[in-house]
Amino acid sequence: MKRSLWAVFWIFAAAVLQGNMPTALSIFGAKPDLFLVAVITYSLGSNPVASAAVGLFAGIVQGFSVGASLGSFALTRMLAGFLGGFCTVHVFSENLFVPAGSAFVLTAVSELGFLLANPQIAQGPVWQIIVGESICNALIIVVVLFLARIGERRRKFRLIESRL
Amino acid sequence: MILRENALLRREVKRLTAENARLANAAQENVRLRQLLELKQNTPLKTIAAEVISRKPSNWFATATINRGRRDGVSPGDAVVDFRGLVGQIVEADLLSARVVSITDPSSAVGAMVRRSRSSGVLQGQASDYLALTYLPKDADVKVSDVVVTSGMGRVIPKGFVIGRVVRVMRNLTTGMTTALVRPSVRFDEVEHVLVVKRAKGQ
Repeated sequence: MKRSLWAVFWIFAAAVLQGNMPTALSIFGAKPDLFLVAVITYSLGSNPVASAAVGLFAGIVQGFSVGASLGSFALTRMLAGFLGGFCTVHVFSENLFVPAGSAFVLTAVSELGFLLANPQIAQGPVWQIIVGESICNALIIVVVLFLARIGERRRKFRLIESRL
Repeated sequence: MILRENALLRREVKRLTAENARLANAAQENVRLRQLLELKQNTPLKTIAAEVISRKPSNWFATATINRGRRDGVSPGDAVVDFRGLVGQIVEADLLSARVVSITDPSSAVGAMVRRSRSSGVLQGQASDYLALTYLPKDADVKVSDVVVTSGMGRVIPKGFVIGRVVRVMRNLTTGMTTALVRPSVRFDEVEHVLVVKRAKGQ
């Protein structure tokens, strides 16, 4: 429950930050999608159903934020959440390269789904945008998970010390 | 004594560095605003000055939000320009803010022409840094580095605003069409201050 509330907080934070990201953060002209980052980070530690629900919520907020394609955003972010939760159950491991790879694939699948639902925007260098965004998201997720693990370790140490 | 003086001087250097950065920023903003004012004075149409408060909420949509809305007279369809040229068009106007869609957005299409030869076509966004000037005739007089301006066709965007320069010309002998790749003079990600150009009455 606490994790879900944090996810909701980060989704609203993404809505504020997404439109104000500096160009320097882009790779191949694509910036990270903070909504997807929030959904994937949550899903890589939760079950598929809860992750899909968070993804659906993130998609609706993103659709409102962009002002277009609400249904496509909702469905593709829900798909990313579900697959992320599925990864946790089946392939997620302690090695940080695994969530990085998962984040890359999940972003790419989600954005490809978005393009399939909106073929009118599939013009120009779409592969460049998908790959760029996937790399950006994967890098951010690695940093977030790394920091989260350090925090978790410190919390455990404090708990052990207090018991001693 | 020397240590205290050293610390004091270090603090002073920090303060002056910060002040220097602030003044350099103010000077740049001053230049941009002067150029915008010049454009406003040289445009016979009614314009509304605005500032971009948020941009590009998704990689697939090149949109931005400005701090002027219906209360200030902004309405959907108005053109948005800065001192370098056309930025985009208003698609949605709320009471206090409005959403601008860039000319580089795939959903955007603007009537445009080559300034030198007056060959006109339709400029379409490509979800990238370039635009495609399509529907040009097979023998259209268009060359690399030609300046492309708005044609005023469709009576939505006023005539004569600079859009960019031609970087490549592609002639398709099968379809009999010429397409020119145009690099916009305005980078949407760098726009800060803009003018909303109101459509003339009757348009």
